Amino acid sequence: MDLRENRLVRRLRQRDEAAFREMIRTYQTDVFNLVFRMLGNTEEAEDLAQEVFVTVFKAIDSFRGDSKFSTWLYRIAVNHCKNRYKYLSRRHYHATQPLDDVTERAMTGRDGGPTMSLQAQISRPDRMMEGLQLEQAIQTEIAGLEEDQRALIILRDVQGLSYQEIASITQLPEGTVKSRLHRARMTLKDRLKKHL
Amino acid sequence: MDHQSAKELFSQFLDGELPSEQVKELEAHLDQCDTCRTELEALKKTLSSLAGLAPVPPPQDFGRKVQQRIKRRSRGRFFPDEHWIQRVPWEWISFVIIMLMLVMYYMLIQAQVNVKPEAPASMPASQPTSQPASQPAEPATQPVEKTPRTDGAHGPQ
Repeated sequence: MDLRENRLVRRLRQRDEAAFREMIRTYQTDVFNLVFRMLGNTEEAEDLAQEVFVTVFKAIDSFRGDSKFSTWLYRIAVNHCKNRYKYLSRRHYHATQPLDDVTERAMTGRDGGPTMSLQAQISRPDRMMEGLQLEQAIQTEIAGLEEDQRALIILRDVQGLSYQEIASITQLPEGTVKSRLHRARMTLKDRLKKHL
Repeated sequence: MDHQSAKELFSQFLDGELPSEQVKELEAHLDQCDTCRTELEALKKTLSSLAGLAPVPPPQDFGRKVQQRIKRRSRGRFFPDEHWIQRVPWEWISFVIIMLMLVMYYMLIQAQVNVKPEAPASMPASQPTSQPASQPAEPATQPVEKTPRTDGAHGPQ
């Protein structure tokens, strides 16, 4: 842990509310995106991301400082996602609830403003539609991956974390992370071929 | 190197983690193999698309909602930003209701005791405790009625 993280954790342990607000500001986008990419639904993602921060607030005393605070936070988020995914699967949620419509989200941001995503970087309207379809396809194919593979793809190829950090989050050996990630990438490549 | 062995190295190759000797072997294979070159290109595009997924912003009031959730679950112990009057003090309301119910119950019991009918005469003398204290109990030896003596003798005046 670096000095800043150390100080933040110390203040969080004292239940310093300003520190908690700072922690949310720092990590909310990463946590929300991880959860959103794992579940594919913004409402579920919002609810679960809130739950992640509530857990952090409650369990901060159990953080031993063996890893970076962000790693511990990600671990909580990934575990929450797995549990929620199982819970929703038992209720056949994914069979009845479609993934978020990317087009709709692209037109209106969560705060009513424009979003800056894959398709938004494309200036031509026809290319923009292709971009939207690609993003929708990516989200669908990520949802179709096995649970462990899904988390690895998101952590590594969407969030850009290092293998070492991913191994620490998932508590898997680095070699296992690499081999599972390779399989996930090859699966996604085959399934996305027609969109690329 | 065959196709399968080459494909197994793609991830490490793109991550820049393949040892230089294996890089040379793979590149030599790619020079000769269109299939593997196409596959590697497709994988590159896939990874590039994943990395191109821009962050979805969380809702603007996300932090406030988290704080509200904590406040609700801690029953206002944390993040008590609302004035006390805005929070319904359920614990105090429950206490007052229980106390009111106890008082009403006690009053009902008292009212029942006051309207209780007098005990019948056959009951033992120790029972009628409900008689008003203002009425003195009649002595047990006192005659109920004076009867005139029939033998002509006069009693003491």
